[in-house]
Amino acid sequence: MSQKIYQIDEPDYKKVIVKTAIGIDLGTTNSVVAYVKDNKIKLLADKDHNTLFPSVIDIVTTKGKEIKLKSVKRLMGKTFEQAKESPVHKNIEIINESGRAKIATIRQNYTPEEISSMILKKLKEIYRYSEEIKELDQAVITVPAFFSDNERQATQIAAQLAGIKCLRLINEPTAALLAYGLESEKKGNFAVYDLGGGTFDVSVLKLVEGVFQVKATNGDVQLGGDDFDLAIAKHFGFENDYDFLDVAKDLKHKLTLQSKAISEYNGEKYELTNNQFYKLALPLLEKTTAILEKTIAEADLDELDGIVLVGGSTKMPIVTKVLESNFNYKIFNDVNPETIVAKGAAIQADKLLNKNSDILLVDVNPISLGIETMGGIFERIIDRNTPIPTAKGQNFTTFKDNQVNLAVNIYQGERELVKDCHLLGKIVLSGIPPMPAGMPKIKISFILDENSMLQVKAVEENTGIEQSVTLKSSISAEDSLAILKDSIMNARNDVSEKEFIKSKVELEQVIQASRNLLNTQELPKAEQDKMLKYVNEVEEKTKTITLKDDLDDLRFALEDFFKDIVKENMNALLETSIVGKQLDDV
Amino acid sequence: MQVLSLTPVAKEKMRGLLSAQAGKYSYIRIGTRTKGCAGVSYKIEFADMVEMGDEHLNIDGLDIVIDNKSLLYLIGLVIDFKETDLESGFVFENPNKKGECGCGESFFV
Amino acid sequence: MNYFDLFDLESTYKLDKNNLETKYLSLQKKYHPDNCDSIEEQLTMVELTIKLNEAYETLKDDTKLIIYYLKQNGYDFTDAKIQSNLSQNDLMYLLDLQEQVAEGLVKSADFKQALKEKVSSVTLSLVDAIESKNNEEIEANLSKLIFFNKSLKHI
Repeated sequence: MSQKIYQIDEPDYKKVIVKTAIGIDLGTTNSVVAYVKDNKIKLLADKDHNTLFPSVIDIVTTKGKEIKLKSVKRLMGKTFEQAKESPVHKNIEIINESGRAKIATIRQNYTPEEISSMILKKLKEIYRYSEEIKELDQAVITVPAFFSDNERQATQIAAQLAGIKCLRLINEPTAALLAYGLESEKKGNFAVYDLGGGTFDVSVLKLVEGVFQVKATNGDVQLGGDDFDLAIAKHFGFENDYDFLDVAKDLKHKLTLQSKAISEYNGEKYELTNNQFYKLALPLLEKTTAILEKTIAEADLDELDGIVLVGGSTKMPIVTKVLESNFNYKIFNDVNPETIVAKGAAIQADKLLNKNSDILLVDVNPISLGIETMGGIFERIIDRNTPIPTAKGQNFTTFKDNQVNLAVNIYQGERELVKDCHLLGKIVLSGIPPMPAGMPKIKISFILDENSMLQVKAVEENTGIEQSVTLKSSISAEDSLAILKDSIMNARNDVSEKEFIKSKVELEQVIQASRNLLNTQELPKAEQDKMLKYVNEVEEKTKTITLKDDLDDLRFALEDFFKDIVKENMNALLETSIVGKQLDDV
Repeated sequence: MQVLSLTPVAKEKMRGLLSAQAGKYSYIRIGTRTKGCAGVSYKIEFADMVEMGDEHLNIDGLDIVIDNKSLLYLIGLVIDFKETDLESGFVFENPNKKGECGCGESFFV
Repeated sequence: MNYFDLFDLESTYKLDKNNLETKYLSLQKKYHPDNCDSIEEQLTMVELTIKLNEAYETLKDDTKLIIYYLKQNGYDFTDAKIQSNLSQNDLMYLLDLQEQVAEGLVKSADFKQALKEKVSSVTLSLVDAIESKNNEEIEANLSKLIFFNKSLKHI
């Protein structure tokens, strides 16, 4: 029998509280949670020791079909127009709700953020029943490096809905290298090639004396393992049959170990060889190598010490093969590509919560930020790959005589025209004194802080009038208010339910303890009967109580009742207790 | 019926640990907290004062305090000091105990 | 405080970039807002780190460094001054290239490459001018450098 050994502790109020640092890799296919305990990084495991939790929610479609909704990450922050094109969501109905995409089910319509929050809530449940028993209420969450601001905001909303305070969003390849660098104690310049279930990222980092400096980052948010499944489905002529995607995935998985794979679908056998798969995968992999090459060039480093492979899709042997034939760098595929990102997130959470200054992550702005100028041209203010925090300003003027208002549309993207970029927000500078065109001096400044939060300010320098906006969310103010309200309500329900259960358990324990006392201690018969009656009454009442406070009152009363009896007998008790006893004597 | 008992070795260790804290703490508080998979677990802390509702015991000159709430759970317990290859510390022996959870941190009474 | 002082470096257009980076990283460790634990300090740290990043971005780039160095030494040009310093040849060079890109004769990537080479060669001439203390040459080449560098950014 294991026996817990206790040390004499400092009282709680004098202890330095070490906050549990938690990192969540909210993946397209699987999600992983890592946390720091006793200075070690641990992975959250369920009772069957699984550490990969499928990012899947069961829904019933509008056609009444029970399905597993997968890859919702690919819909995060997307407009309806973008979402309806998703090739892996042909089995669900995506509806247009004032431009935003919602997933229709037989019960109600859900935003991708809401579905995502359900995945996070599942992780919270698993966490709650793990050995930790603490709450998963704050965490660093990872996102693809090339996620736009809209997609990042959607992730933050999902966390908020699940009652998780997002300490920071960090980029997946950066997180991976953070964990890899610390685990392997490597130094130097590395490219991280991160091919996940639905997204592809590359980041080049310089790692020196605990500082992880991001040099360049790039990616494709619509390229991942799902696309290899689609290519296989297409090969067999099933590109429009959603159910075949599971067969395609099965074939793909089998080919990581075998040179030939066979799978069955509707009684038919489908066979795929490694060579056939190579041909199907090559066009997709060529996209990734082009991005990798470009990013390495942008990082502008004297040398590169290697390419670190992360993301579940790098388990496909052809990834290493293609990279080896295209690049002359060492390939590091010695990490578990599926859990390394969450570990890095936990390291960053530990750094932020417990102020560990041994490591520092210096990140960059991943996608250029700017404004719309004449003719729909996108004018960059903060270039991509600029280290954050950063502040940049640029002067503009009016183009019409006596123009008194100036609207500034804020965009994010890498294209030349704003129509090809993401609109993030808008500010209107009004009250400019009437002047000939070109006379007003309007300075527009962008401040991007260490949390990647963007603040935009416009000042007319002759008069000093100014207008500023903090871009917290790309969705409308009304929506975000509704979401917030909703999340607060849910949080309250969740909390009160938990509190009630806790009180109930506590009361049951006191009842147990009382009975135990009665069974084991010798008390006068009359007293014993009186107490037994009281305990029975309390137990009876417990069954009908619905309020936490009532449970607590009952417990206090019971505790008081017994305390008095214990005290009455105390003098007699003390006599025996002050005499030291050998354990064997008991 | 007895309150808490300490084995001689536990008493000796506690006395030693407490004298090392002289000036900072003068009491040892023994109690319970809600934790672990089966509910309640024990705790031993230093304390600098006897708080309202605390029961103050003087065991061979050792100042022990027990809070009211925990009294019920601690009746009849024996505290011993144990040394294993890995760690040493105090253990709670509960002659009345019925069940223990897998992690050894909680108990049913 | 100028950028050189910030990094405790000698004011020169010939900086040891490795040394610059070492100084930058140690200051980052000291001032990054993630490394501060009081909310009161946070804002100051953010401002400092913004300045640090801005200084580093300027000094690590050869072209930006030399422009900054000359600005610190009194060569602060207005747009009009730059334009008046430019020769007809420089303007024609850019216009020709732009036209060829518009007509599809030259690829945009090649245009960029050509401009990059131009910027490097002007930077070299500028270094020569500074070393021979030829004020006229410094002004002419600096104007060219600012002009071509701006064009490069706006491709």
